[in-house]
Amino acid sequence: MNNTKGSVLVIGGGITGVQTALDLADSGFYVYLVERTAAIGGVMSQLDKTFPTNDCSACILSPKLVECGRHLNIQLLTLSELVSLKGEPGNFRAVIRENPRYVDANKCIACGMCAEKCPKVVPNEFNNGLGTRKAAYLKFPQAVPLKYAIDAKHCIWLNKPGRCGACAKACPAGAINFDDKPKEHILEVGAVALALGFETYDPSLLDFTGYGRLKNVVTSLEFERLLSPSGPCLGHMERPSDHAIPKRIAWLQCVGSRDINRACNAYCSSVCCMYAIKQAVIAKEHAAGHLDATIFYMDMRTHGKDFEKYYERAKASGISFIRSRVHSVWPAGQAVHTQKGFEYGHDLLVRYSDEDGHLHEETFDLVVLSVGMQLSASARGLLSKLDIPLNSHGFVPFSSFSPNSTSKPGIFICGPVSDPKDIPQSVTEASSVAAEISALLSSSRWQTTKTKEFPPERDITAEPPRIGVFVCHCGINIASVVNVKEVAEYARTLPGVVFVQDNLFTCSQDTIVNMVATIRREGLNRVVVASCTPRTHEPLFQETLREAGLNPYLFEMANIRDQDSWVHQNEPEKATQKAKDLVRMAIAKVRGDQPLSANVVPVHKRALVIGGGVTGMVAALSLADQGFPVDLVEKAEGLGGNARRLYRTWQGEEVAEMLQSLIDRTTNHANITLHSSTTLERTSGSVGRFKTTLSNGKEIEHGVAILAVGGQPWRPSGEWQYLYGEEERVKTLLEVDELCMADENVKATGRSPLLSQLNHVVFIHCVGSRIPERPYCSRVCCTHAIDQALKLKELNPRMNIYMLYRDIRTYGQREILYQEARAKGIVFIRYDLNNRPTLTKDGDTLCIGAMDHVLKRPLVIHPDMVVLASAVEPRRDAGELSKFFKCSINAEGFLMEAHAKLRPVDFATDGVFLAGLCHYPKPLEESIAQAKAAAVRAVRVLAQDVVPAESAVAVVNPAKCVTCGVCAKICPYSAISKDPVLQKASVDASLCKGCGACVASCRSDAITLKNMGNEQIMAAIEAAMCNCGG
Amino acid sequence: MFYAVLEGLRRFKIPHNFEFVSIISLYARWIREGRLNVSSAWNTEGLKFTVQDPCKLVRQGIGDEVAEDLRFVIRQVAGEENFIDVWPNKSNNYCCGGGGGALQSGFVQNRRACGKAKFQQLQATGADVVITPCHNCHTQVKDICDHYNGKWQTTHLWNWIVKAMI
Repeated sequence: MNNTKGSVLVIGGGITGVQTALDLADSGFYVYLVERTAAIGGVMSQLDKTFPTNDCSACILSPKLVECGRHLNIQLLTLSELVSLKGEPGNFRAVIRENPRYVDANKCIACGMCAEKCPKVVPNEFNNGLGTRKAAYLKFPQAVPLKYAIDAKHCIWLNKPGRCGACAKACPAGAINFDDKPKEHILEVGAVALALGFETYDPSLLDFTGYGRLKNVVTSLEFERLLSPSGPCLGHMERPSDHAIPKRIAWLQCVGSRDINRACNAYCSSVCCMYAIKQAVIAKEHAAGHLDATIFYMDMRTHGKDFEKYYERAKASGISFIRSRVHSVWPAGQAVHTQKGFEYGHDLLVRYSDEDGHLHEETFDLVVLSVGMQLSASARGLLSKLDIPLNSHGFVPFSSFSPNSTSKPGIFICGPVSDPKDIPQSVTEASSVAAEISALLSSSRWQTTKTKEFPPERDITAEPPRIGVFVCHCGINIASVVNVKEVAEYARTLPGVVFVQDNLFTCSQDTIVNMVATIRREGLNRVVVASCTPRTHEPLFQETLREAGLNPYLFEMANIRDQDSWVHQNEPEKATQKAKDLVRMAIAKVRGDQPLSANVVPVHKRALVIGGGVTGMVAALSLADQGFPVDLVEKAEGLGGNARRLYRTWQGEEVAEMLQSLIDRTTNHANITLHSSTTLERTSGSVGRFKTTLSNGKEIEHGVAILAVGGQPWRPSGEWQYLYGEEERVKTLLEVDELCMADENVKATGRSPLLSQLNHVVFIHCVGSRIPERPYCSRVCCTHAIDQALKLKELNPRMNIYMLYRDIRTYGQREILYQEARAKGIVFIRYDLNNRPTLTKDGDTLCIGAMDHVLKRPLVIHPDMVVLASAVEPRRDAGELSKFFKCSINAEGFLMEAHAKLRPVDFATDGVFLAGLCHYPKPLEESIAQAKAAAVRAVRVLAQDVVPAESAVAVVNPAKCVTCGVCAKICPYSAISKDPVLQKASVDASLCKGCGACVASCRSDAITLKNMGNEQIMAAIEAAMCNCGG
Repeated sequence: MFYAVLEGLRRFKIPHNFEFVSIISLYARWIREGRLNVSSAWNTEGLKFTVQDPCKLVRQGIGDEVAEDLRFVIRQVAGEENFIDVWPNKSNNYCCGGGGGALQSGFVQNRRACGKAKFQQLQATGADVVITPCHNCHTQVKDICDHYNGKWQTTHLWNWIVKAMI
């Protein structure tokens, strides 16, 4: 009998928990998502924009929240916390307490009357205390669930029954329930995922920053709210004290991070450098250029994908970067001494010393403290309840080889619970945890899930068009430029339009529910949404149509944000005119839209993994453990890839042993077929039904593919060669790792190790990284070099070690290694690109020339060994390989994911995923997490029997086709072939992606794209050209 | 000693079952609780007081909390109207310039140059008495007063408490 439960408990409703829940629910498990506050979304919902793409945070998060809220197999438990957890992996019993909301969620229609009438004004914690809300409140405009709640601590009635009750009188739905009591839920689950998130460091503990005393000193999270359209100043960026628009803003880095003095947080928080740069860039946009932005930093840590380019762009745009640890923030100007103490103005004075040791004073209007990350008290309490210990830095310890497991089997961690990390990495880990759980509970897949039933589709063939138009404000993204009301009024005048509505956020849950009701009530049979891009939002709206009983293809989007308000910020009138034009075109086109039948492709439940390094093996094993057969293709003879040359991780775990067990498991796993010394010959097909031919002649049919083709160390050359290859005392990090491993063997035989005989060793950082040819940081080398230096110090404590570096980027708890290295007397000397170290040979003596950055004097070192921390670069054949699956690569040659923030392991091509070094340089634990994440993303496909395919496909009119064959040649998806009977071109609907290339190529006008026919295109063009009012 | 123990407990998160307070905060607590009775009645001449916030006690040590206590005690002892705060103050106060071994290591000129900012700041208050609850600050503040021809008197806190006790 199968005792394994098919449901999962996810604790924490931030983006990490949301991603875990979605991945698990789509892979066949029922998920309970427990959130402590009144709505899911976490810190990401508070952010304004996200780096490095400057995407609107709410805009990319909101669809996920809505999906979570609507998902049939996710049950949201808000205002809830875990009381107890008992049991074992596969079979836990969790008790959850759901605190009273005092608003009946089934009755609440989110009209907001309760909040409007509530007399009690309290600080708004969603805005970090900037601005106010009522005791009856909605956490934020796009909240999921979109239900009001009453704050028991502040509600007048709940504290003194009978005194108020204004909300209950105002509520038209009768949803207010002052007698609401805590509810207890007993859940039987197979596994638990902890996505407990983080809180920002409270800088009021550092009184010299003035935080809490000086109103215009704010934390970075508060500044996000000041920038945000849903924030206290509606996105107009005002400073708190006098609502003036700041013209000079300073960011102070490392507040509560890398500080062992008052803050007691020794680690680096990893994300603050990037968010500070982003905030400076966005603030500059807000101020239309009239802003002096200065960032005071210690080391600039832009170690993620495309971060370094972002940093360079920020420098070029005039943002000042000053390397200085500012010790105090004072009020500027003359302070007036009164009996009550000092009184002073609004501006702030920052005094700092530059790198030459000169003192400077600068006045700012606003100072932003880049506060670090730490676990919240409630997270720590929960972990201690679960008996999961924390390390001395207050994080959950983890193994680099299994980064998401805890000391308790069946309980997994993801996100910043184990180490500070950014959104893409948290999202990756969220999927990685889903993979672990999916493997653990694979025997109960689809056992406890429910299936969605859509209402039958309404037949609209005989109906004249009844078009509904929904115009979106997108907060202020659209409404601050385009006159949305005017566009809506204009749409009302167009033929066929019977209903028009404008919404603050059309994608919010209440609007979606409302839209379903409206479609039914008004009998709409075509829908136009004028908002953002179909790339992110079309699936959501199409599903909304299905729920209302309409065919999802009776829908068009007019992109009045990306293609209008964002690009015409300075011309609001013309932008409004353009919005009208775009809406008119969409309406003209939607009129001709016809219902299309759903197209599905059966899934080959088999995966292809390319690359037999650690990433490829972990991905293959994860898939195999989740119950799916895998073909693992490796170009080389043996498995292991780059990891074979690695000695140990930064946490001191030796790699060789782990690697061997990984190789053994991979070779012996019943679900894995290994193809070594093999490459790909060709691939055809699409998600669900790929067909790949290997160089060993085998042909594999597979539903998904994971590209884990790895990277390689760059071979130092040109001006970065440093005698490498000519002089055997010059080595790379990996070569020294090999020596370390050899040393271990030597030690075992009792002979004196080779490395311990060295007296002077110089490490040169950033060899080939962060230069115009390779404008990225290789992420792993700082930590690797410092760890290696520490190893050398272990072997010979008297060894003199010098590190020539540009910025030390030991992010997260790796920072401890850096501190240890300094404590052990390793000398750190900074260089910049204009003053690179030189290496020459004087007879047989090596001479390193460098400039000491503190003394400003030239310096000569005669090392016994020089170690080059050379760049990690993508494999040259990665580009070739990506073409097989129509995936793209970025300018540096790394494979490009579908979305830098929220889809870090997916490709834009469905059914193909990526992981490891081919995505970006990264350490083992991140590669492993990515491999597992890619595996579960693949399982989301493999777990289904069929996948939906494009319905708007090309169709050939055989009467017109002349069988010239041009279309078949031009089709990038090999979807067109000659029909053997008719001898005419014929389109395989399951392969066609609806790109339209064949339509344009056909000389006989024989091919049409469904819902994109000539009549419709011409109608849209005519609508664009006619100056019919508006 | 005070800072070393405090920092040790904090940085290495050493479990301990005692409260770690400065004598300054105890003075303040005792005065608030009425166990230490002081009055400013003695200050008939209106002697003006100002204060030095020692780095190890305030900025690096306990923070503004103890600086507030220090001011509270001085106000009680010297009279509300006779206290003139320095600017900047508390956690943002200037270093006296004599710490870190500077007083013992010889480089007298450099040390006095460092103390110049402190001297100007104290001089600007026009106070007759500078309270320094740290022997290191005391030595430096007294020395820069003598060197730059200041007119104030440098003292510890307890002397005045004794004077004000009733």
